[in-house]
Amino acid sequence: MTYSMKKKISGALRIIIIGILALMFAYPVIMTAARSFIYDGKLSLTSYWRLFVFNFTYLDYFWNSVIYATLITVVCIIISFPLGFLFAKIKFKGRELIFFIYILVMMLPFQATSLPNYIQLRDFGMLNTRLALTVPMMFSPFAVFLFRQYMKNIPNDLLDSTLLESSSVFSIFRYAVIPQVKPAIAALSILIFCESWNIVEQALIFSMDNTDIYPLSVMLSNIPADASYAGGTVYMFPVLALFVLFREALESSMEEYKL
Amino acid sequence: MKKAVVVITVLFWAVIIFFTVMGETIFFDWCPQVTMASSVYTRLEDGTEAKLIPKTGLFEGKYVYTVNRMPGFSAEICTLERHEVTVEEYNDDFYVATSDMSGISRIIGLCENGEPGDGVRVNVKEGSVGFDAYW
Amino acid sequence: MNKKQKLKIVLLCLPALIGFAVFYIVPFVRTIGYSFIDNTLSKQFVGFSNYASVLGNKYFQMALKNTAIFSVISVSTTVLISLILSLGIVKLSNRFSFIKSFFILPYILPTASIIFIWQSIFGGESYEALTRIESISAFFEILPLYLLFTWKNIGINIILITSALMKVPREVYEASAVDGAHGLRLHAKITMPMISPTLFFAIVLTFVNSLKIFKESYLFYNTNYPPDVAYMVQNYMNNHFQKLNYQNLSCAVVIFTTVMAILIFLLYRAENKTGDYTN
Repeated sequence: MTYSMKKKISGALRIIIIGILALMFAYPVIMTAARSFIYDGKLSLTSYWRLFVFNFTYLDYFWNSVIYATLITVVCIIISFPLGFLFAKIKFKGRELIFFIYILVMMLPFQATSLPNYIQLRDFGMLNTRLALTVPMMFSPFAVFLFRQYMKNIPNDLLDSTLLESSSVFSIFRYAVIPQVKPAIAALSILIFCESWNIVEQALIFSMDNTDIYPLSVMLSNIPADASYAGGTVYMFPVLALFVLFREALESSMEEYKL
Repeated sequence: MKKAVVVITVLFWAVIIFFTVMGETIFFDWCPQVTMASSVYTRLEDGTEAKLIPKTGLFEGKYVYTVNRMPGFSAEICTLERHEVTVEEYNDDFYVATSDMSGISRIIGLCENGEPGDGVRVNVKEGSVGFDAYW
Repeated sequence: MNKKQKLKIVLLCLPALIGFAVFYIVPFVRTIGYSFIDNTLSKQFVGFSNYASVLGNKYFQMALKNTAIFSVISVSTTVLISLILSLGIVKLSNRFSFIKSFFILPYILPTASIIFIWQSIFGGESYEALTRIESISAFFEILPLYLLFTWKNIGINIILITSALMKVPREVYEASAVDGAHGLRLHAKITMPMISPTLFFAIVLTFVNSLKIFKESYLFYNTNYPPDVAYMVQNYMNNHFQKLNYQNLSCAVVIFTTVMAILIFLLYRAENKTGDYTN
């Protein structure tokens, strides 16, 4: 066999194997989506009709989830951005120690901080309000961590040359930093949105007495069986759409730096 | 590929917004609206009590309907259950039931915006029919 | 960068810092405080007696051991498999690169749906028979959990690693392809250090997720007291949370955090070393 033939075969084999694996991973999603369009053995949209009409409060919970996830993602990225830069590029005493504490706290499971958080939220009067389900998560150390990792790789010459052009902090961010960390912003948007979209424990504990503000993730199991697959599909859709959209952004910004 | 995704996404949100605004209205309006009949009894010559059925509550000459309420995810789901009875004229507004009505609780007095049937989902409106006519 | 600019940046960082202090640091300090009292009503200082009882508790020791084993094995297998798959995926032509997206689907699905499917696969009679064989029962009892974790986390690792791999200059790949047999060594010596910051991030992310396995474990085994081999520190914490035994819970947290601190410190030193090397 010639070298190019070998290469073609191995290339085809690679696609097949990876393709099969990919389908295995996608199976639950495909199955849920497929079953949502079947009612009584026939292809129909009845399941969705029953979901949106008979269970009309489903959409109230849906919008709850949308508000929480969007708010948390946007705010978290905006406020973590300068802090990541601080840890990455500005030297100060104790920098590594504080960052180390950040990572440490990031590791704590929810059970570790849930009780003190509950007491604090109660003292602030935020329990059973939408604030309790959004504000604590906006300060997650995860975003700071990722920003710092990416920003560390920004060449210092780039920063210095931008400094020569303009002395405004915002223009440094805009021209030197943001373009370099676009993949991080895309990745963070997906990760944080996903995490906020799927919260369950926080909602159950911090909003015990007010079920109206529950996110969809908690109520999903209560949907009657004839609309449950439709409910699941609608639940998955925003995350999937976000992912598809951002994957393009992620890949294209990667392309820019291919040498 | 990307175009298809964008189109589906826009459609998705359009559907969501539509049903967010209209979902509850559709739930309550897109089905027969029934009003319950007040329980009215009369004493017959032989001393027994018989139930009076308003004329608007008897369908096809022999059917009355009761409402089954089931708790649903968002609101109670009410469906009709059909019962067969025999009746005789009583006065202008009522029939008197001659068959055994013991298993039948409150029946519907009026059905608008659609035809009643066994298992049909309905919305129960406030108020009741029949009491005023009786008095 | 002059002082004024630095000050402005610090000012911009204040919301994040204050929020972090309020919602993460303060609760953690309070937790440490709880670990030294006997209960939340009388609040009497009891020194280290809580620690003694927690550390001596055989369930806690078992939980610690299980969590350590689970984290190490699951993180290493997940990252390793992701790495191998990424190396394969990155060589796919652009047309097929969307296949990557399929791998992340388990990550974004609601946990409840995944568990439902997992229970139907691993709940069957034949699988349960495997778990009853004395000598290898522990392995099969916890296998679903490992598989679930790996399946869920491969996707995000693939995304991260492939993005980093694509940043590596083409010449390196061409060189390794031509060398054929030397490809593996080239990967180890050249590619790995080049993607090490991302690799570090992927390892940390997977590690953090391995500590959150409680949710899946609780839903899968459907009980607060899973089989012995699956009893993790989070189970211990959760059970004490439910029993309102906050002092034990807090001790567990502090011990747990101390162990984490040592681990992360070592990882952090390793990353700084390789990071500086490539910079």
